[in-house]
Amino acid sequence: MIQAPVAPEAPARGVAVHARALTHSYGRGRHGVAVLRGVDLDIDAGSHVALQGPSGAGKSTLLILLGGLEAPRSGQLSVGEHDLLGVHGRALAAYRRAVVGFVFQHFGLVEVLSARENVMLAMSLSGVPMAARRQRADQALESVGLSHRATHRPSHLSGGERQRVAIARAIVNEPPLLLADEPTGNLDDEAAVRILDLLDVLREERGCTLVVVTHSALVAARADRRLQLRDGVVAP
Amino acid sequence: MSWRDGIALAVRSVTRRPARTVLTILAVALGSGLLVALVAIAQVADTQVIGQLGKGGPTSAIAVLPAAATSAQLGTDSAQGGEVNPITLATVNAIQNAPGVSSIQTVLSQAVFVVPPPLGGSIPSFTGDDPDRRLPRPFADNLVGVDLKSSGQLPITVLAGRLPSAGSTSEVVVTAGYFDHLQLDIKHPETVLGVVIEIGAPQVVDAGGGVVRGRWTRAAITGVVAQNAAGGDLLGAQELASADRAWQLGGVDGNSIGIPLPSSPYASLIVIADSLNDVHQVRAEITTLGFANSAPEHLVASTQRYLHVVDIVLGAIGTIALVIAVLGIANALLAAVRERRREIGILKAIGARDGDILRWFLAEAFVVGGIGGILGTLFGLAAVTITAQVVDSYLVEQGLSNVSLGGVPLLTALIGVVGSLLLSLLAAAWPALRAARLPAREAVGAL
Repeated sequence: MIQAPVAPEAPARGVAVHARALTHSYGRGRHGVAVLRGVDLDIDAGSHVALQGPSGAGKSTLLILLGGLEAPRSGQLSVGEHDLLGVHGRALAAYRRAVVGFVFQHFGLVEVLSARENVMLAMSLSGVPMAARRQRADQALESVGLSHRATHRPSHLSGGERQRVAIARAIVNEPPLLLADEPTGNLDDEAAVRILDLLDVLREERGCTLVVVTHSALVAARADRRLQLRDGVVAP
Repeated sequence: MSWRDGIALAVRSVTRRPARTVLTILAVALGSGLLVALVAIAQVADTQVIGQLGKGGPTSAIAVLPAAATSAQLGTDSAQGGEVNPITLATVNAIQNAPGVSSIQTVLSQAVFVVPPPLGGSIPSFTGDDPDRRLPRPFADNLVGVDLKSSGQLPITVLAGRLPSAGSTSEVVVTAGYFDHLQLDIKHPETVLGVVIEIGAPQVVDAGGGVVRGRWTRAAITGVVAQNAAGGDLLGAQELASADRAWQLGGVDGNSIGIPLPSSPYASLIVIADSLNDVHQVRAEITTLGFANSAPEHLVASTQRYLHVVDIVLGAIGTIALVIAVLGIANALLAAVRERRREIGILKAIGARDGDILRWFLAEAFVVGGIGGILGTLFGLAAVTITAQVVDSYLVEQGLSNVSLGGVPLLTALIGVVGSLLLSLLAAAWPALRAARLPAREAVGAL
């Protein structure tokens, strides 16, 4: 069942997430490793959830499934109106373009492109007309406070600035679900706080659902809910 | 991602490893350059070799001689003639009406005395040398008269200077035989250009008394040629030879003193067949009419077979070089795929389809192959031009015609550039497919 968004101040554009008996494994047969062993999960639309747990608990794998990077092996997983079980290839790529914005620990910027071009790249994949790309990229960079660094390549930006470019790229297509994998993992404390503030502001402005995978108590403390994964299941 | 976006991204991507990119482009350039150079040289060689067989005229040209054809005529390229069989206007008309005949050029040959400078001597000086003053000795020769408006259809090759103007009676060209007569060096053909000589057509007035009159004409030498239209070291307009011929026919037969009247109205005919394939049929018609004839039909056919083999071998060597070069693109792209696993995953995570990744890597191959192909083609054409200049100077030194590169570059440029692009895309297919099939979870790293 899909629930209505709850954040009262948000424009309610986020999506709810529901998982039931969700499993996933890597490899098959005797060499297969079950990573998720039956996850039950409900995330309200527009909420901010932190996924925590020890290494190997399945946090990143759950993020991969939520982000449509792979289809789950069994169980049920719905994100908004999208049922992701059995979805592959082009359909999964279309889901990623329409629903998901990713923020990675290592930023994931293309080094040979400028900040603006990195943001425009996400739009070129979504088929946004060339004429609109630059304007929307500049707006996204402005919203993360990096208008003055639009022409700089990632190698000329600080870690915090790179992560802000990555956030601009993640939000430029206005996805209803924002997924962040250790977004402050490569930043110092001061830069980390700025990034967390920025994510909070963007979520409130845009009303998107934010799921953050983190080991950091500081990051987790910002979330509305904190979910613990242990041995492939959500701990009660 | 459109192809335009893919190429834009590819252009940026190839700059991240500049040394590798430059080396890959150079390899493709060398490969395509070698292919272009070999193909161009093969084409020039084909043209020149076949052209040499035509001796400056069309390879479908057939020389008809004023001699009766023997039964062995059609089995050989050379003329197999017996007794005299005059070529008349009726002969010309009969051949003209034969199937497969494109055109006919008539050739005159007139016996003349040639007096080289200094001019103003008298006939007695012809019979004796002037060893004290070491002046050139006058000599007897033949003046070949042709229709210079149709010189392109005649077996004439200009080695230096130019042909006489059409219809001119004051200009001639000379062959290497003229240099032999005057003991000049053919390696310096320019030494005779512009020199004015005297040409005397004989008219035997009294054969028994040995009385001969001359019709003297002064003509400037405008060029040096190799010619196979008829025997003679002087070649000029048909009008000049025709006037000299009429002068001689105004006298009596001087066979007893070595100046016989011409036995045939025409010294030879040059018959141009519609194509090489028609040459044998036209020769058969001419043979049936009873005239000895020659054409390099068997030689051209066998030479073309050999040249085709050479073309295949040279083309194969060039193609192998290009294939080896574009394998460098495949290697470079495979390395790029290994290096960019996470980046490929990131692109997929932000929405790229497999086709977008495929397009990105194919576009990189397109950029590298295109730049390499263009550079290689330019390099190849430059190499051919330089080679041609070296060969030219050697051929001219040997008294042969130079080589021409006309018409070759466009074809070879297309072969070089398009071949490089296609092979580059082919070589990139596997790395690009590998990249496209990488799982999107590479974005998150090792799990």
